[in-house]
Amino acid sequence: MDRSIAVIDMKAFYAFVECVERKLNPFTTPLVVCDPTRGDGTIVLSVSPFLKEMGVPSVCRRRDLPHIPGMVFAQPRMSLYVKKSAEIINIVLNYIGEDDIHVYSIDEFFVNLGPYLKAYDCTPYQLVRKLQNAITSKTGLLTTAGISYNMLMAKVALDLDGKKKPPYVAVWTKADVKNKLWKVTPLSKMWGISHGYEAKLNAMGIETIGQLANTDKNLLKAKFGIMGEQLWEHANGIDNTDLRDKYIPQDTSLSVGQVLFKDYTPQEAKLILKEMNDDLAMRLREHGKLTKRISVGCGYTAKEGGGFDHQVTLDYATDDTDKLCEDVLKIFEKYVGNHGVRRLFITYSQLENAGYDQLNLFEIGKTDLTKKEMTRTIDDLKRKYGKDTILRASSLLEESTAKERHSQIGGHHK
Amino acid sequence: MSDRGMKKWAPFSSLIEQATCLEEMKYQRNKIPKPKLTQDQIEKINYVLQNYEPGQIVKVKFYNDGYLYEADVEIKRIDIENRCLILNKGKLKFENLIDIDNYQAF
Repeated sequence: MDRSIAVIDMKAFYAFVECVERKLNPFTTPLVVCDPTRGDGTIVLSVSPFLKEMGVPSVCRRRDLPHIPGMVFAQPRMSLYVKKSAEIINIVLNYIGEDDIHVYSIDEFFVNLGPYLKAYDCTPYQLVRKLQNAITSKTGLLTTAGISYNMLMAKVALDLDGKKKPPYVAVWTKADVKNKLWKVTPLSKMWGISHGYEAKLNAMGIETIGQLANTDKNLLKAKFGIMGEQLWEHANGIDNTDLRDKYIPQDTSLSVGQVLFKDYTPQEAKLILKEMNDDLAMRLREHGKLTKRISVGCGYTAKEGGGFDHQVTLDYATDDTDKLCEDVLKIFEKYVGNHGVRRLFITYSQLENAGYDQLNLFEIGKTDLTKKEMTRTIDDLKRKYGKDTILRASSLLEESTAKERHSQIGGHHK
Repeated sequence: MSDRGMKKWAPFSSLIEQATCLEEMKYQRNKIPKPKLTQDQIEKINYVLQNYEPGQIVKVKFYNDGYLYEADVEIKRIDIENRCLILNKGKLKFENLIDIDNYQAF
């Protein structure tokens, strides 16, 4: 079925936000978003359009940056970008219903345009321009867009065309499958084709999307299973996804992981696991869920190599921090041996609903502090005043990473 | 056709903070003002409260922070001084009470 879909992307999002905040012109300012307090191997998260035009890759290491006089290093402010991102969706919601927006990442979202064309009496292109103008006039940020008859084609129109040059909008039709998409090479330039698949397909003599599209579908299916079928369909511009059909993972899980900055002894690693478990258990409660399965993963030091990933199923589902912590440590102690530790993961899966709890709608009248209420109070304090408000005493030890991690989002500065 | 559908467009959930921030934005956005009660509704609430027998379970509809909720509760006491109902599950201010039904009374 033909739809009318747009995907809108924030141009050089983090760098653009930093330029706007500093009242600098992103097209004439050499600005990079990169933590200047870290080493020269630090990731550059985003570069201004000015630098991009000079050929600086959008994501690189600090040491790869060319020497340009007057280069501005902006400390990443993840919480600001997250806030801006929500602000942008809020603007779009003034025009489009919640069901017809799919937030794909912090700087990219899909819009189901079809149902609105009549109401606004305009073409898909005009509606997208309307949304883009609203975003730019309210935030000063620039967007790029792809428009087509399904999500996949909108996405490739954006990536291969819309992003490149003003007016930063590309409309692709069915004819563009042959005219534009089929000319694409190397294969990994197209969304959804990894370097791994590219190498395998190259080995079969397939170099362009056109060749992929004209390969026998059954052959691809036999070779790569469901992904082979998808590769063929995408190469032919086929994608039947309904944007309103929200995908909810069946067995949802919550997980947390961290790479440590130095080698930890098993004893020290237990401290980190406790801290990670505290944060994850709080997230579990915030989602109103209980978990029935815990898994603990551990990567040994680079010198030793290897690691383990084991899980246990609990007798009953729980959100009790202490109970979860006990089991996490039990798994860890059972398998770690004398290895040095560099990476740690905890995952809760088989999540169940904790049940409707009336108490948080009313004021709590009871005076006796049961354990549950104490946990709730601690959670409330952390939510209101920050996660460092109440910590384990052990988090004051030198090996602890809790405070440092609480000052980060996705491993970057808040 | 075994299409993977929205699964292939699943967002990168690596940034939990983003999801939380979006939820909060939508929560704020979808708030409604407190409904104004008509004289009829006020009289109905009065009638139900005046005829309430201890131990009965009533259905209350109430307003809290931009949203309407419903709950089955038992009324312990009416606190005129603080203008609220003391319920088995906490307190409910008169000003937030939107409707009340007592099915057991009839």
